[in-house]
Amino acid sequence: MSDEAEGIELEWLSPDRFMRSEERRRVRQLLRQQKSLSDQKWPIAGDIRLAPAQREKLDAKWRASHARLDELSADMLKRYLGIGLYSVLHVRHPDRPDTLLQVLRVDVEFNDWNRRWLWRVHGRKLRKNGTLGFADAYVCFDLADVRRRRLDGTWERVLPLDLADELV
Amino acid sequence: MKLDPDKLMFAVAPSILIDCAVQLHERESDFDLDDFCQALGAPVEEARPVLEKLVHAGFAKPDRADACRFHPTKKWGQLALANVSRGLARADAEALLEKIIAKACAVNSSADDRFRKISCIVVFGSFLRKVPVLGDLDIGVALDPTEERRLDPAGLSLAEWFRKGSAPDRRTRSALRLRKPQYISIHKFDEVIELKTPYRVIFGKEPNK
Repeated sequence: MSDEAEGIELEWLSPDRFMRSEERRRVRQLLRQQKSLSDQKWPIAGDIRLAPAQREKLDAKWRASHARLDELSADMLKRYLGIGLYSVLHVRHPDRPDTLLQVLRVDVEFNDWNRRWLWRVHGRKLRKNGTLGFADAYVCFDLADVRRRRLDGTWERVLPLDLADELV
Repeated sequence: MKLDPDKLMFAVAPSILIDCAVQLHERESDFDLDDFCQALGAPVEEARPVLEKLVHAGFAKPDRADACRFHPTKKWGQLALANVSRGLARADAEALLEKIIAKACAVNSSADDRFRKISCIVVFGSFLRKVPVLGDLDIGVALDPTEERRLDPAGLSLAEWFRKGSAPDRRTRSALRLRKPQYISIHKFDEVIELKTPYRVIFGKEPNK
């Protein structure tokens, strides 16, 4: 999968390609739980107002669920793609602007519209001079050209770890 | 401190290491491995050996009470201020020095009140050591004290008053930098005196002499 004209070498990196069944089950369960907690906190009927204590309880549950999903996603990203927290990534898509960011948090999401699983990476932008800045950055990817900055300043293409082993 | 862009330091590109040092130096407090990973832009298994090497080389020292926390040393500050450059050949430095003198003459002869008159320029540092390749060209500048203007504070916030009041000084020093900040370091004349380092007057007359 390569796009020579753009110089972008696309790779299918969707979580769906790697997730084991128990991981998929756990992720789905956490996503459902978050949606349910969110629905309870913001009921559709506008006249129902939650007591502050109830709201705080739901918030705490939601934060805990989110933290578990972040932890699981970060672990999967590390095991399947070799991208650890605090890595610096250059993510390129053929039809979207490039994103240069440092990974500070990661989760996975299921896109209902095209029925695809995506990595959702949150972090901070790199400045034009290549230093780490303060501005928030965010990128979603499944099919993309992702490169990780090595400490010697060079960039290595992110490939699924099992595939990288085969290439070696 | 000057670092060669082609030479890795502790297996890290100099620009990345300096960026890391700057981020942690600006916090002005101790840090742990997690902070270091974030500043370096690397996961823990890559960052840990680098931190160990930095500690071993005296750039940081572990906290006495908590071995997981580290205090940056003076060397860390020097690393944060380091330049990444291949150096400056003496012939190029001499050519730059002539351009700086010409610029100072131009500033002093112009009637443009956006600049301040320059009373003295000195050169110090590696230029005086007769080495073939310099780190950079260190210049000390004294501005004419009689030229100092007081800005009317009416209608200005304190920050604006300070910023606008010091703008001619900044513009003058910036003009002497000749848009080559990687090669020319401009310092105040008082800083040169405080450093007690040898210097040579290349333009004007030393203040108080």
